[in-house]
Amino acid sequence: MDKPEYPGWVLWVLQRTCPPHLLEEIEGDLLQRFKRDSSKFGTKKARWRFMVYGLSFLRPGILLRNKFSFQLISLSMIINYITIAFRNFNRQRAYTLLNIIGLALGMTASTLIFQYVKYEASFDKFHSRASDIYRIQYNGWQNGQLNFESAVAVPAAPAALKNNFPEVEAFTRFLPIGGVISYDAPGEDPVVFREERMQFADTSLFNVFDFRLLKGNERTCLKGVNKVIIAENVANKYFGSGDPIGKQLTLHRGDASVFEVTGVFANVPENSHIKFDFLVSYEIINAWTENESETSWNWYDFYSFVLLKPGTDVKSLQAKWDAYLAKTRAEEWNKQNRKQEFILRPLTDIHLYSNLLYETSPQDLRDGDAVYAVSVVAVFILLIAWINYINLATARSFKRANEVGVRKVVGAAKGQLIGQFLTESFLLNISAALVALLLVRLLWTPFCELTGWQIPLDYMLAGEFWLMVSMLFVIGALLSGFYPAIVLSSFKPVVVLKGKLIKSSAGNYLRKGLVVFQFAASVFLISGSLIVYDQLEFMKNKDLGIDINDTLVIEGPSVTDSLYASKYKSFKTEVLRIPGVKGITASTSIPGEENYWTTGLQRINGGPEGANVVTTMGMDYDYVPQFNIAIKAGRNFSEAFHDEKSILINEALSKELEFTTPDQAIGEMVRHGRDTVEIVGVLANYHQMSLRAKVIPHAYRLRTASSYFCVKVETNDYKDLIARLEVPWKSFFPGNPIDYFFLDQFFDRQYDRDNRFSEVFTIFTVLAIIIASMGLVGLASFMAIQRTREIGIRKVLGSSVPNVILLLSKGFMQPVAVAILLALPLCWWIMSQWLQSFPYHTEVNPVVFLISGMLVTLIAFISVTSQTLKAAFTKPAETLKYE
Amino acid sequence: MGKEFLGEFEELVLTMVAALQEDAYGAAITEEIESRLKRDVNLSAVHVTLYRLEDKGYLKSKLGGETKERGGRRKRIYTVTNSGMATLRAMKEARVELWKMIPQLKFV
Repeated sequence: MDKPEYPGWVLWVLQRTCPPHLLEEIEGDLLQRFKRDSSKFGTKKARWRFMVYGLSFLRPGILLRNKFSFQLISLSMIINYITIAFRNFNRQRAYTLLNIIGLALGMTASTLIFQYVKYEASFDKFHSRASDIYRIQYNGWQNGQLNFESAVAVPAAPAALKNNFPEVEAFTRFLPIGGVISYDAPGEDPVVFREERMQFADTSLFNVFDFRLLKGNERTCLKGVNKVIIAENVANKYFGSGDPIGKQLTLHRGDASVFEVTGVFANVPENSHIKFDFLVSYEIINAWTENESETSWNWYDFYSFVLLKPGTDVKSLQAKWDAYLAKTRAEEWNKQNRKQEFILRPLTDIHLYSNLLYETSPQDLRDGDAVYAVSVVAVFILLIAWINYINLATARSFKRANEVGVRKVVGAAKGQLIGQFLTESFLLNISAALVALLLVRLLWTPFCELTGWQIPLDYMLAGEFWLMVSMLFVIGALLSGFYPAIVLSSFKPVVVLKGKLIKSSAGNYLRKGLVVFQFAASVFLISGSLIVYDQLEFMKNKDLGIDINDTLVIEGPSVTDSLYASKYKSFKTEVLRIPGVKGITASTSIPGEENYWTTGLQRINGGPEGANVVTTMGMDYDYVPQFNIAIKAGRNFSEAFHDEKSILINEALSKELEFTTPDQAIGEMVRHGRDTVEIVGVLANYHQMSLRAKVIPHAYRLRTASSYFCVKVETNDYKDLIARLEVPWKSFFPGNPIDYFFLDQFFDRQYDRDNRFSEVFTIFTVLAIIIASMGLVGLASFMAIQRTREIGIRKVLGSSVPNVILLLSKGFMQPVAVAILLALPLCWWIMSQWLQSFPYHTEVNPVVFLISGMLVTLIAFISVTSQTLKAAFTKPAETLKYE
Repeated sequence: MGKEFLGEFEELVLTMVAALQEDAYGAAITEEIESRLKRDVNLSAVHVTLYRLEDKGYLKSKLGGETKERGGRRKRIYTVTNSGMATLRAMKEARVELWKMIPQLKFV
């Protein structure tokens, strides 16, 4: 026989889809036509036509003729399944409601959490080539020790990378600035704002990133000095509806500089790790620094990004780059006994995994582990809800044993019974999913407000969202429906119809095992959130070594002139006259703000080789006493000495400079930048930043600083005080907006995200335990009903109410006890690990476990007894009278 | 007889069945339509139409002989029923009536 030339699979498809009584002639006609076609058009075309004709038989006019065979039956079966399911739901409304609520809560919580995780994971991914973009991390080594890991690098590094490695397509740099911006419209009041979201940048940023320019030319808008491009919302703020292009903005920062607006870009998306409203042409900074901002290998203030060619092996590029640096920079490094590392870090990892010095907006960064920990909570909650369904459904199997038996005797196949029970689980799950959708929509905004998570509502419209909800629903329905369906459908009719009690010890163990899991998860979550809370309280209450209470901070004037020092002195005198003001001090930085001023520091005699790069702060005589910082050795700056050539250091720096005691440091000479200065005092370590960061080596110089004025106050009437402060402010520093805040609030802002994390953790913990106890309530009530007669007999025979309660509760309290015993060590271990990630942390407090263990036991006991109590109090006569 | 109307394609297929007599089955009808009317026809469309006409009672069918070129499959031979013939005739008469309403073209 010759091989068929036609595509046989077409017939295979038809055989499975076409009505049998029509199949033969259809096939015949197709084959006949194929013969004709192949003689007419050749085999190739004939095969193609065979396929087209064959597949076009899959049309309703043909397929629907199938219904006489089997579809009709299955359709009516499905309708029957649904009818029966609804009868069942109706018969046990409380149980159905319990299930739907539990499932709906679980779905709602997990949907919200998954959306949140999706949002956090979406950071910086809106750039079309996000996965090819890398930020250069700068690691500074001193004397063979890692000195710092910084998010900002030196400006020469990305340029060198681009010029020497063909894998690099483009690079771009940002240098942050801040200051007061004003728009002086002719004939109108000037529009003045303090702006922090400002960067120097050049047009290469459009080669690397997808930030969109709405007006202006992408290639030329930042060419030349004194050009600025601004965000849409800023354009509205300054210019209203007018066209911003060509308008002049003035930056007041020391001297005033005037910029011409040459472009407007779309607002930087919320899920960008770097945010800016103003981009000022990079050429200005080149002009100001005599090109240092292009060539410097020391000045590290630049966020540097490179775009690699697609498919670049980053590891091998990094290795080549390291070798290149070692070769070309070695001479420089050896002079100072240091080493520089420039590491390529993926852009998309910054938001969740980067925690370096000088991050662009550190308060917006997230801890990836914490984010994923929340999604683990979501999974826990879902599992707990599904387990409820499984447990309740199998526990109820007794009730339906007779039904199953009769159905089987009448002729139901196992598959049909499974179909019946799966239908019930699908119906329950779909109702829960609908309720959950409603809840998600209603709770979206309050949830975002409560948690401080910004999840765009558009996510609800995305296909992905619906896919996820349907997945939750289908997985839930199958997962929770399958086991009960199999258990229930496997009853032997002879046994159940005889009225024998089904005692499946395997099922019982499984149920108990699942309860153990539910409560282990609850105990874990409770202890976990307590420990998180503990650590937060520890951080917030630990003595910082500096007194930041009752301090009002005024942001220093940006518009200053050469007379600033004397003006400040007069301003200070005026301020000190205001009742309620205890003191005022000017400094370049305040607690809670990272110090950007870094300078090389080296001992003249002895000490480590090479200069250490040390963060430095400028301050006046009053800073140390006003903030109540302890002096370990020596003295504070004093007007009695000529302290322009003096320096204060902290203990950490004293240790790093290899002084064995702080006292040894006093009187030693060091080179600080270009100055040779004497150490006159050693300050105790205090926390400049939150307790998430280690105390770093720090130096202090005497300056008449203009960044911040810290006013120590003692009053209840802040409104009045601020009004009084404004008077001298306006007279000495005209043209400057007065911006002020309280230092303790500013400092505690660093804990915002931790607080929120703790709150969220607590909310979901509560939710998890509510759902878990709902399941327990259901189980207990069911068992109580089941054992009504047994209880009746026991009571007749002399059992007391407490005895009965104990008996009924025992079965439930055992798994809870096991859960506690399992969860506590695990929690101890994991949370200790978590605590280790903090440089300053509490120890795991055993009381936490006592509390969570007792709490869970109590909740479980209440859930169980609320149900068993009724059974225990029922008079035996009522339950036994039918016997 | 109810007021059943036939679609254009249905009428065409019905007419073909009447014309082809003992040789009226899916593939043959398709071929005839293609060769006579120069019109591309999908085999499955013809089949669906045949089934529909059978449902309406205008056609009846029986399985005919098998041939080698059909891979041993039998044909389903269709014949027009009386009601099918009546409908066809009624439609033709209606057409003729309508044609008569068109004024005769006069060539000058």
